[in-house]
Amino acid sequence: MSKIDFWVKPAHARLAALGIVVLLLTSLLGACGDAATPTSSAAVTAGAGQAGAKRFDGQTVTVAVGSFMSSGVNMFKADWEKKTGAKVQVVEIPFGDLYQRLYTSFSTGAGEFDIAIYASNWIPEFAQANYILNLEKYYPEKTNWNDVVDKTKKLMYVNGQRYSVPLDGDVIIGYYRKDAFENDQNKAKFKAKYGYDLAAPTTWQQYQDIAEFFTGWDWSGDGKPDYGVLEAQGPKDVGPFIFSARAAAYAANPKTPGSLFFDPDTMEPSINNPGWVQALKDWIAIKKYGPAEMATYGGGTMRGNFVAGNYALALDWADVGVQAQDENSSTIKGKLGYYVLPGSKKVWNIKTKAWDESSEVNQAPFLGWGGWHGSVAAKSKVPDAAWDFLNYLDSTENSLKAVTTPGTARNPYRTQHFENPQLWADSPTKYMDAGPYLQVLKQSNSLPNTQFDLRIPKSGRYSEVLDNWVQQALAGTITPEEALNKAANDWKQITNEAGLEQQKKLYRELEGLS
Amino acid sequence: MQSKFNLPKITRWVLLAVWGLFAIFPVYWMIITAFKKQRDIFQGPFLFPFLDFTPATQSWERVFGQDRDDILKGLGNSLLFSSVSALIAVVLGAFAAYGLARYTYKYGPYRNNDLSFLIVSQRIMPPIVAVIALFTMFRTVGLIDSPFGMILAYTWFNLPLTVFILTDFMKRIPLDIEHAAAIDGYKKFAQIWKVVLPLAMPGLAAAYLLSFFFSWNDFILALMLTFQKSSTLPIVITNMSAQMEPRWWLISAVGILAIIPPMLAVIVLDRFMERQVLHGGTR
Amino acid sequence: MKHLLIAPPLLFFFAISVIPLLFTLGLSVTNTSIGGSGSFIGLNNYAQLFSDQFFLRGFLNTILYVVLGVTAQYWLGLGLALLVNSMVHGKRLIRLLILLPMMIPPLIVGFVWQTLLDSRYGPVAGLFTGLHLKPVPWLTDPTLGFVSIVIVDTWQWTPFMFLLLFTGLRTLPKEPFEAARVDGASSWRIFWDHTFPMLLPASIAAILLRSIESFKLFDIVFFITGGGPGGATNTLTLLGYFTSLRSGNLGYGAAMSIILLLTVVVLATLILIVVRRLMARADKAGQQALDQFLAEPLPVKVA
Repeated sequence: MSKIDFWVKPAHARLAALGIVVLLLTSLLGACGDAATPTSSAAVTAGAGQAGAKRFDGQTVTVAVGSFMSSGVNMFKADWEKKTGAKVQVVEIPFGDLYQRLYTSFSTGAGEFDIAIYASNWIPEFAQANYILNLEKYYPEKTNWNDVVDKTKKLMYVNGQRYSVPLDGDVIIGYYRKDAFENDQNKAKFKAKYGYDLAAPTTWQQYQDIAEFFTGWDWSGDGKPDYGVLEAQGPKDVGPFIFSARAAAYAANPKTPGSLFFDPDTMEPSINNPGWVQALKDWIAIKKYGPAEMATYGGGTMRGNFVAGNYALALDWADVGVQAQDENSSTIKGKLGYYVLPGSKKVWNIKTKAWDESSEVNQAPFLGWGGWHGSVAAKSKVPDAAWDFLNYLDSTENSLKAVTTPGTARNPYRTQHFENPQLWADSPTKYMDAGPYLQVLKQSNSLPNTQFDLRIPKSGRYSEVLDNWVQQALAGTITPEEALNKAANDWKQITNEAGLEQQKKLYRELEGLS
Repeated sequence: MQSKFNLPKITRWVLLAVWGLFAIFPVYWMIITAFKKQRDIFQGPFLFPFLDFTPATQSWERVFGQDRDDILKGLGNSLLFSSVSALIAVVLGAFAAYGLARYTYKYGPYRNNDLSFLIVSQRIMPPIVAVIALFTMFRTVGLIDSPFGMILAYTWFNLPLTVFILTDFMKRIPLDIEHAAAIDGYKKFAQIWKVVLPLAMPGLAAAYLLSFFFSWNDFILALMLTFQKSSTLPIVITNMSAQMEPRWWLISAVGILAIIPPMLAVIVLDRFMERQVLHGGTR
Repeated sequence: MKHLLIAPPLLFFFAISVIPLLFTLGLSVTNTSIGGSGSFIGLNNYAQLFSDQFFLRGFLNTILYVVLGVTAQYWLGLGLALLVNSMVHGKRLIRLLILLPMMIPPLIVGFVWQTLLDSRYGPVAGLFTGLHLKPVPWLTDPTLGFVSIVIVDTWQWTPFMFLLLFTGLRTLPKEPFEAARVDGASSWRIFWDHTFPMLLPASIAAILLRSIESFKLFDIVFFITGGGPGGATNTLTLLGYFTSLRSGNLGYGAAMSIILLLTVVVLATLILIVVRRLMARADKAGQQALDQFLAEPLPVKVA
């Protein structure tokens, strides 16, 4: 035996052992995974067996959905499968990559998905490119259409045709800490300092006063100084929606409808007008009434922080309300007040290029992001089944169940959802005192000056650009005017790339101008 | 070994302890977060279970309950793709490294160094834009969302790394060992497989581990090239993400599971790193 | 036989790498966007890059991250490798613990550090207050935000250096050290005269690989600061990701990637030249290793 062999054997044996370990681990896990699946498929076959042939026997509907919305779909999957004999496959896509993934899939044309569930803001873009099915031929069989709130209905039309099924309603509202606002001592102190009564803010100036008032001292009683406000100011997150919501009060003039983002006559960006500049100044000003890290907080972190209890004011979609009810996350159940987004007594007029001042407050609630809608892919081979599943998700009974269950990311969008607070109290959310919450949501959805989010093609790019420059202004590297001028310049370029006339036509149509 | 850095023993331990604290504390933080309620996370800093906060099992109920199938799928896929692709990358990389260390190549203007740079340069390409092309290619040949496709992608991703790391190791293996093997009647392939590779074990182990870690933590390739059945753990974790609700307790719990397989890989391969290349081939 | 040996990586190169590269090059001279057709616009994207302040800042940041991060990681990794190498007991456990940060998925790394450094509920702020120091705005001050990213990158990737340098140490011959010790050389001298020069090839490999990876720094920044405050922590890859995949501006994103690629190639070459100069100054005892290394210089030619 040579000295070589001495080396060879042990090393080899170990390598082999390693291989075996790896294989064992893999197969072990594989086995666990397999063990889990048969149960569910068995259930399906059993269900199908009982009732004989069903409508969609043997069909598979693949649903692409942004990750955090998936439970709002999954909770109805098994029932529908049992009813129709079809199978539902849910593909979760990380939320931030949803637009790009849907687009890549649609445009390369292999049709991985039968249903896409996504932001209603993208409906016009997908509809124009013929990626999603015109659903008019199915709508006659829908029995609960009329119950959908008007603004949500409007989101579904492109060229007068419906392209989606609504699953969610998105409007940004304000929250405040009722317990701190109703404290007599706080009330007196506030009145002495600002000369008016402490109450939910109706203008952004009041909002700022209140934020200042509640900053830097311990009003929550946990032994640490608290803050006046918490908003999601972090980059690459929900920032552009929150900022646009703030700007609407100053820049959405009822006299010039549809002028929040662009001048509808010229497609000249509005985002650098004094209304938007004022909103950005406000947004910068409230930085000092929140924790330093507010500059990094996205929507999720902001919600988790706010319901943990040390902030007096917040802006968010309907989600904070639901999360506040969960006592694992929240210390503020039952201590929450609500208000329609504050307004302004002056509002910029893009035609006269001057402020329109009035004693009336201009309120302009903002339908940021537009809410989750479902569409059937144009390339789907099972469009009937796909429609049926979407319709099932939106049935009167199921939609109510979804909006009252925490963690579904589905917020109220049907009149019936707003009507009966008791349903919310009895639901899995166990919503405490839902009346005012539903009232504010309903009102925000239905004011005449409620504003749609930007829905023309490339809306994602417009908001990214806006976000980049606004972040610069928030960080203090450039002035608000400069930031918004730069953003407006970039917007012009994007519009030109996409075709100015085309964008204008669609913008006008979506804003309800002929 | 010899290059003893003769610091007093105490100093050595203190230095190591300082680094250890820095390295481990974030891991400890992750572990305790998996036992917190969400409100404990945002009211902290709470550092000590039972003293600062009451441990909760909320996250584990989900890990073993409603999220079990997803997590198992991600864990299984990640384990399969990472371990197999790292193995292939190390074996192929070792052969190529051996070739580059021992032979002279001349393909047109390309010589050894150009070739090795060519191979390494693949690693330079930022995956961000390459993925769009990869996606199109994979779709054309039907490899999207397939385990084979993912193993192929990760092998491609790690092969430059293993070639580069191992070339240096191969150069240091004394030639006379191979000569001895040749005298013993080994064919070239057998020489490499049975003699050179065992001697390069520390390098092979390091290259395997690094490849494994890179695939294990890859996000962007898996994002583009999988849809559902081949989703890896980072995708599953991202899907639980905090965009909507900061479920850090749940994500931390999955994080604990996610470090177990790489730890096992280290434990298994650690002994090989310890081995010293013997000079002159004798012991 | 010899052709067969390097066939697989070359095959991968031509089959998988060249196509994306050409594809990206092609994209970079168009204004293609997700959801829109593109037309040829020549070098406009490149021209635009050099007046794009986000790009320029990201470019500068990327280079600083690489220089600061890799330097810190190299020396720390080397120190750790030497320390662990000289230990007799507990090596295996220590090695496992040292490697731990590298195993944690990126999203979780982001969350862990975000909460650790939070000035309100993070333990680091708690520590500072405990020591009667003012809490530091780790993530919200532009400079400190940058420093924080370097710290986290160092935390996660020093193990990479450690692993390569430690295994490198294991392959060094014994004789020179024993000879030096017999001559009564101090540890310090032995390190500089023998260990360090002989470890240079492994060091270069480690530094080069880590630099290449650092240039692609993405997930840590993405999950901790998102590039903020005001773009102060952006990197090129992060910008590329947002430009290409989030806002769908594929042509412009491709141009960024090509610039990044060129930068890495140029800097990798520079690093090699500088290191070789330094090595030329290293002396006697390392000469042998040096000679061996210089006989086959690492490539500087861009293929």
